Amino acid sequence: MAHDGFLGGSFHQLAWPLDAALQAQPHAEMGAGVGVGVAGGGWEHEAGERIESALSSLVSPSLAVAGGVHEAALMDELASRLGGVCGGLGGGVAASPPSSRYASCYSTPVSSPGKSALPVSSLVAADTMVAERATRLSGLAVGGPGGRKLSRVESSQSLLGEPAAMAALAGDVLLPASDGASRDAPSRKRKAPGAKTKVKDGTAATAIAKSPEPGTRAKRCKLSPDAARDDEQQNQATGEAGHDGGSAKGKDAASEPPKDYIHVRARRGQATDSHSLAERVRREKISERMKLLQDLVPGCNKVTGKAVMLDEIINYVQSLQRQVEFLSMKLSAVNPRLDFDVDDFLPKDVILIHLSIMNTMKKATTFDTHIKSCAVFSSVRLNFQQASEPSVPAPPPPPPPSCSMERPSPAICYRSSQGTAMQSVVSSPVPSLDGFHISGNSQAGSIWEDDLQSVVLMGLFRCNQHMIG
Amino acid sequence: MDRHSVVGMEEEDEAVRRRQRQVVRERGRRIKAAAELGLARSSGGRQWGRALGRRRALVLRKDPATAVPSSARRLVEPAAGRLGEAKEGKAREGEAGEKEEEEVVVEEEEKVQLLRQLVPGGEEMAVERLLDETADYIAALRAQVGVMRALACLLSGLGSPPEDKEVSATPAKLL
Repeated sequence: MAHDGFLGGSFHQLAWPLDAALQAQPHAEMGAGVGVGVAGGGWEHEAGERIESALSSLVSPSLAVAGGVHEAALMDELASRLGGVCGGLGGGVAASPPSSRYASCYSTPVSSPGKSALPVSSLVAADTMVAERATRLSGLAVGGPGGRKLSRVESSQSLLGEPAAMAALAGDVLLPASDGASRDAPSRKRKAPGAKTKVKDGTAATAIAKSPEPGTRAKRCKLSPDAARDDEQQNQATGEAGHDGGSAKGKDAASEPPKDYIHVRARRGQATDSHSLAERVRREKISERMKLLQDLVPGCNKVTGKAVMLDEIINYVQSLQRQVEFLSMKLSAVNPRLDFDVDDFLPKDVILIHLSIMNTMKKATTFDTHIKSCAVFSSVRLNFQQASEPSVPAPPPPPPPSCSMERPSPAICYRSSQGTAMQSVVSSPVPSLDGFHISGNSQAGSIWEDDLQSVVLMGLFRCNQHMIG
Repeated sequence: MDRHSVVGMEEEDEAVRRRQRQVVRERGRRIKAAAELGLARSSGGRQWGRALGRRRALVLRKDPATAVPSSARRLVEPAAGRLGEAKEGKAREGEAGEKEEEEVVVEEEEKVQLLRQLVPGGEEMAVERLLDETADYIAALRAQVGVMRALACLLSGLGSPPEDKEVSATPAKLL
């Protein structure tokens, strides 16, 4: 194998299965792309950067498929290997040939668990500093599976970025404007933020090469998968990886204006994967709306929980719809007290009726209320008009006379579908109508045909103000 | 002869009463259609309003007698039935003490589906949007109910009756 000349005998047997496994895989995964980008790019920096990025790229794809069971083993081996390698390799690393080789090798996602991390460890230089970084990255790259989900740019940039960038785990993550689809339910249960902060400390202390540190951190990385569920661990580290990606990208793209991203600040102790953040934003929106609905639906103050709330909402909507139906039946059966001769109906009568309705309702009677009352009332009247000739579908109505819609405000304009062209036009200037003005009429034209009733009521506000206000 | 005529008259009365009932029902439906139109009109350009308007437009073009009540009934009853089942299911689960997350999610999805059917135009909206529209729809429905109640009292010469929060559907003062 080509690796032999590069590293040494012990590496040889390890690299080989890696190669085979890697080349066997299709080029599907993002993590692979990350690996390529990183490996390719990483070689351009100094040795430490290079190795670190190569290490991360290797570890991440490997762990991507490894699954939780293997992670602990990987961690162990990695730690041991790093320790062993520290004394072994010199600093000189031939740059391009191995890089190209490795780039090609690691362009495919790794499926062989457990072995792939090892050659990486052997790659690492003797530097304890590098070893530190390597362990840190290995802890990071446990988020490989989640790293898959990261956008290629983000993650590659993250790994290319300064290690100091990782210290800036401020929590700002850039989310794409469209929601991520996955339900990261396990990611909700985020385990000890302690692990995350430890990583943070590690990155901050990059400059300080402490040999005992890698051991402890490796241990912590090892412990956390043991203690937590596999999913949690993955998502946790995913969060870290995404975190770093986001922060690094934020740093790199600091000059660029954020394009279509929603800036979300991740809270402490929560996963910061772009997907889970999007999920959380969505959930918050939903719970906001549920709170609004709680206010609307009577008797829902003590109820908590989405399901029960939804139940209540559904019941309420159904009951309201039933009420409308019942009331319409009742209205159809009512005997009009006023023997109004509908043909002689004057606009002011309409207004009076509306005003009395408003009085009855006694709460905030808005414009919409008027419209509703007009619609119902007109229907009632027309139905009673035809008491003698019931239920004949409307012949095409005469063309509606022009309502004074030229004015920005108000007219009451009736267009009856039953053929009786009742128009009462009351036009009076109205100070301001909260933007309702003509939108009603234009809407009517676009949505409904002529044979529908449409009522636009505007003058009542003025009358309302006179008589009541 | 008198008996015959009496019987004849009774039969006629029956027929007349039946006719009247039909008339009332017809009128009721038309009034309801108008109410819904008014509801939709006053929705202020909301999606549910537009959908309701479209629905009503279709219905009014066809025979108003058939479409309106049947669809309403169909929605109400199976919805109620499913809701009952959902509640039972939840009670059972609560007793068992375990609630898998997926089951809860599935239940919630069912309810969201129900809500979609209830709110006009809710079929193709995302959940957050659906909740928004539901809130607006509820507000509009309440106003509509208030208006109609006031109108009914007015027209039947009663003045303003006390308002109950949750009025049952059984007619109290149906003439």
